[in-house]
Amino acid sequence: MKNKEILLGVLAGLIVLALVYLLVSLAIIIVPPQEDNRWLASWFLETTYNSERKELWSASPEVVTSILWDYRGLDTVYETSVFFFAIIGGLMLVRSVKIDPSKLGIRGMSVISKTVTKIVLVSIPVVAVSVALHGHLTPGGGFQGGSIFAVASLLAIVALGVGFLYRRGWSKVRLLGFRTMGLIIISIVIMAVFITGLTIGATGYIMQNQWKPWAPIGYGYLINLGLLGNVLYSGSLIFLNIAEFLAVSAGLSLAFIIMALPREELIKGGDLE
Amino acid sequence: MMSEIINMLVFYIGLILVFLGGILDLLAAIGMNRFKNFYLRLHAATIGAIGGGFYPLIGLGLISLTLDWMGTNRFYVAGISFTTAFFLVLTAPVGSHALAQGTHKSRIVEPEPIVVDRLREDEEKGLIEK
Repeated sequence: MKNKEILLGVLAGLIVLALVYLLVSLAIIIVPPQEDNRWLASWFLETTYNSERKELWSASPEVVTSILWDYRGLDTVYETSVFFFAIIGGLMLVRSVKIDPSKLGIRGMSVISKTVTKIVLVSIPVVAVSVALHGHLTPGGGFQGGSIFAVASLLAIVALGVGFLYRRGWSKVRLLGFRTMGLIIISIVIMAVFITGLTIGATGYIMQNQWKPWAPIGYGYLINLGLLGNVLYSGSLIFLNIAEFLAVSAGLSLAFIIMALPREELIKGGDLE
Repeated sequence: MMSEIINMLVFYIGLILVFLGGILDLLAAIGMNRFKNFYLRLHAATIGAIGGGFYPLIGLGLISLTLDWMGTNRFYVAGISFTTAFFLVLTAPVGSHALAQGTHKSRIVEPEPIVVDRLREDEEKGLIEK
């Protein structure tokens, strides 16, 4: 037994050494020197926040969010709907389960764990919301913020029990409602410019963010808040980020809650066992 | 003059904390290898988390506060260090506590060497659930 373990350790070390040797000396993975950006990267870097070329910009200093929600925005919308259908498909499997909150007798962990979890539980949504609302300024965005928020609900499920969330009204219907509300906001935001263009007789595109010389409708990018000064909101990006945050946080929380249901609830009425 | 002395003091306190963290991390690593029992190894792991994570972060924050050439960036570094240290000192002991309690409840590991086991006594009296 002991010899086998030593042998395995030495073998793993040799494999790692061989891989490192191949990587470094033979340059199997060629890492190009980063002296200047590639053509595509510099194109995006030069146009996303370039106020001198307003026909190409998206009014956001954060290139990744601009690409995700403006330049290739429809792709992200499709991704969001795929995620929605995945959650719906997961719910189909448990559609006959009726959850009775009073019977969820899971009491969670000890008092120490519960107390600290309640403290941490306050701070995680704050981080999540700030990541989502700053999505057009700093790395992050709706999906990332929603995922961080889902960590909070996962923590609550593990430490405080599923009953904690159920007693606060996190029911299946309500979470699905938030999820659907996010999707509806996304569809309104991406259709608004197009429909306005149709009604007033100007050119407008689906998923359009800023105005173009040939399509003069757009969301604008600065709002004047009086004493607070001008706030950059980057057109449709902030609305799409908020909607995506709603959708992802509700959807992932729902997925975690369904996964954490007690086994007796899930097999009630089924043929299993 | 006074502020320079305070700056230097804070800098060296931070440096000492970082070195202390390194030493404690080394001790924790040795403990992880040498201790023979899950509960004892948990003790070493917590030394690594608090001693090797909390102290160096505080020290890093203090050091960065004294570095003038960083400009306003030092406040970002210090703030992030202190916040991370706060959450680390809040959550790391709870993680160890939850692990130890779960292990004790599921009876996977016999706690030894042991002097007194109040949890087991309470379980036998029926005060808490087994």
